[in-house]
Amino acid sequence: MASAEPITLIPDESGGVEDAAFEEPSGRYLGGRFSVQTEAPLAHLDTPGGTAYAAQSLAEPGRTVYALVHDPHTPHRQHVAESLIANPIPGMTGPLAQEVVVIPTPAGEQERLVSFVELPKGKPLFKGKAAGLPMTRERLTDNIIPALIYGLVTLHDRGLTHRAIRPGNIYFAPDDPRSATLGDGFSAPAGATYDPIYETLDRCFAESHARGEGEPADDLYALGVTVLALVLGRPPGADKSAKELLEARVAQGSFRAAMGNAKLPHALHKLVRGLMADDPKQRWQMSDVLTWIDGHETDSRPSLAHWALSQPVRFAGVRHHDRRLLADAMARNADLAFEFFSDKNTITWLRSLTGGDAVGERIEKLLTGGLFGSQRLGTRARHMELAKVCQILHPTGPFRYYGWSIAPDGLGPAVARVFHGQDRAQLARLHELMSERLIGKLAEIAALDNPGNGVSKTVQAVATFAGRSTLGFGLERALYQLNPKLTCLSQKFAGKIVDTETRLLTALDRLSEAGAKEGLMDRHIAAFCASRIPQAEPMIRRLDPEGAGSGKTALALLELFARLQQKFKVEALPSLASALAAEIKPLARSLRFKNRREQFLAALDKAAKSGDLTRMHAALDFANAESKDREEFSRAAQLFAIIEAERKKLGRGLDPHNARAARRGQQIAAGLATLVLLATIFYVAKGL
Amino acid sequence: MASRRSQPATRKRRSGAKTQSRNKRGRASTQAKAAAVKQRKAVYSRAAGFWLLLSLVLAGTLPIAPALTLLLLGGLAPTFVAAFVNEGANKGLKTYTVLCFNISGLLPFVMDLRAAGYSFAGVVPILSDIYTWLVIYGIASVGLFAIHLGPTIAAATMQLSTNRRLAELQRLRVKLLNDWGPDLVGGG
Repeated sequence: MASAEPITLIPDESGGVEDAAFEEPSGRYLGGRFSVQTEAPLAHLDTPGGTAYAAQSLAEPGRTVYALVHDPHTPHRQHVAESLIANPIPGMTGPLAQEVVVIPTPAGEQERLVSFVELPKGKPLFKGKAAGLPMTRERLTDNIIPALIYGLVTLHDRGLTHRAIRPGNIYFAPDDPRSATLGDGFSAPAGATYDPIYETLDRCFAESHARGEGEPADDLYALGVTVLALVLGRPPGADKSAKELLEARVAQGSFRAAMGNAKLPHALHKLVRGLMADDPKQRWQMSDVLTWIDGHETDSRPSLAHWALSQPVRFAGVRHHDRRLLADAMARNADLAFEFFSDKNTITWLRSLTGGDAVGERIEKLLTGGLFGSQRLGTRARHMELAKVCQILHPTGPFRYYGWSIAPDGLGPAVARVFHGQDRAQLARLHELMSERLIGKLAEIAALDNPGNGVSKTVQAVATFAGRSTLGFGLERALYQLNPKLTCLSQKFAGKIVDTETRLLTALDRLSEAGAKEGLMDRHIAAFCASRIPQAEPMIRRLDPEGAGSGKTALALLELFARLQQKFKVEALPSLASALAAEIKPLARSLRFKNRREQFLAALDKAAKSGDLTRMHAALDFANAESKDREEFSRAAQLFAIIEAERKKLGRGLDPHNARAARRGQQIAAGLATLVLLATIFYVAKGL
Repeated sequence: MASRRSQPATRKRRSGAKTQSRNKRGRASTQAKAAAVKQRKAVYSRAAGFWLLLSLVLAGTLPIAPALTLLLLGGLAPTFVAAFVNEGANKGLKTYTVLCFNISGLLPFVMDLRAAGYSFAGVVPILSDIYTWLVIYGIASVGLFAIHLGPTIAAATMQLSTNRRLAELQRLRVKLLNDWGPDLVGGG
């Protein structure tokens, strides 16, 4: 990473045009807008999803920007980035542009997606996790909170969330030190930068990279914690350990646990308490906050949450009063949990927890009796049953399996992380988790309390993809289905950014140019295509994974790539077309009619040279040619057999004893005899 | 008696059934056989017609001109022999050929007899002249020669057209092999 020169930008598929007016003395840039200075890292702006470097805007030299180089294996929130590029929100940091840039890495020069972001001119309210100065009520209520709220209202109206609202990510506005700008919320998985206190009780149990996209209510909760931190001048609950803080939150509620003995001004007290309510139904909504900003009172809502156990449960040496903490403890101490559940009365106990017979019966069906009373189950099956029990105890909480703790809407980054690790054991475990019999059931349990939960439906749909092993499905499909903006992680594209269908085709064209010996398709590419284009599935099904490189596979690939080229209006791909043509050529041998074979090869060569896969696919129509050829060959074979039979018959030659010859001969003789007789009669008659 | 009479019929049926089972073409073979039987019947009926006509002619001339009948009986002997001797599918044609040549040889002498008023006095010198028989039987023998030469000439003529057909077939064969390749030989 120690290059001293600005890094070359390569044009995106929209085709950035070089502009001579912006050319630097070195002349080494494309795109004409930004350059990256990798010799000048900006560590304080790094995020879990990217590394920050100094950058320069070539179009507007006066504009101070920095470059955020995204880690290709960590799914960032591209949908948020795209929305902010298209329509920036005042008071909220978003990327000015995104480019694919060739960056020096330890593995050599590689493509990376880079977001160019306006450098915050003001200081952050808190520096990192350190404390800042307490803020006055007036400053908060008059400047900071309204500035943040108006940005959030716009964002939420777009159906997006920020998920990085914390004092360290809020900057004093450069032109108005009393106001504030909300920092980057797109470059890392949602909630990945939060300390657990900034997450609601449902999400704080999940791992940092798997907390999920969340909802506006999650942003409002984080806003409440942020306001509290700003008033206190320190992170809330900083005097407690993480475990103590969590237990305090569960026991007293997040607001009280975070507050401790501190006192808040009345107006802010009401706001923070409303925003930090643990029950989402009790938590303030955006309309409540706007009412509060206008100076009106908001009625508090009654809490309906019932997380308390009717009787304390002793587990792992601790008396648990709360179902969520019990679920967390069991997930962390699986062996003790197995012992705990060996009691057959546990199912009755679990039914009593749900409070309803109907739900209880459904739970009984979901728990197939594997964990209870049976000692013959394997470890894996026991972990699966335990995951279901944990979900029953905490239905709104994360999926807990084998030490993993993943929010239902945080599955995407979690799956990407496992793929990045390339650990076989972890991948096998992920396969177990993503099976319909586990994650499908967990989603079903999660939906018991919330039948309209769209995330549960998504999870169940992804489980059906993950459970199938054919090309275009499996864990790879789940990966791309859950991370719609993730770059294709195929080994064929190592060091390249392939996050769109256009880039996929371009990368395959370059791969073909370099002479792709291992084919143009693998499980990642197939899953990538299938997740991006639903119509691609039947075409991918026709790809024969065993016959990689065979003509039929190449034809199916041609159909798929032709559809992509047509749909996304990708420019000519001569190398890819030639590579496909080379693989399709041997197929011509199966056409027996010489003219048809020659026509097929001529059409193939002509279309391949053009690089137009759509035209190539249309010109070939091999299935039709093959069927016609088979039909005509059958007729030609029949005709040939007839010819051979006749030749054989005629080849024997004719002898006078041949019936036809004998008959004809006798006819000739009879004709001659008639003539002789007539001549005699004529002669005799003349003589009379 | 009844069982004896039914035996040939049964044998015929059995042999017919055997032929059917042996022959792969089945029904086609039966049809060919039926056609052959029909043809044979037609030949028999034509032969019967010929003898009937000849008998009528001879019977007609006997009371009017017995000398003519005598000349005809002696002169048409080659035809009678040919009619008896000839066999096979073209028996009628062969007999007809001999008959025509035979009549051609006989006709001048019939005219001589006519000039003599069909009398026995007129017929004796004709019948007793060796030259008469040489002419009549010599011309009839030309008919026999034509019968034997005809098929050879016909075979030679037909061979010419067969050769032309073979050349045409060869041309087609080469074109098919050129278009479809050697797979065609085994029928794919």
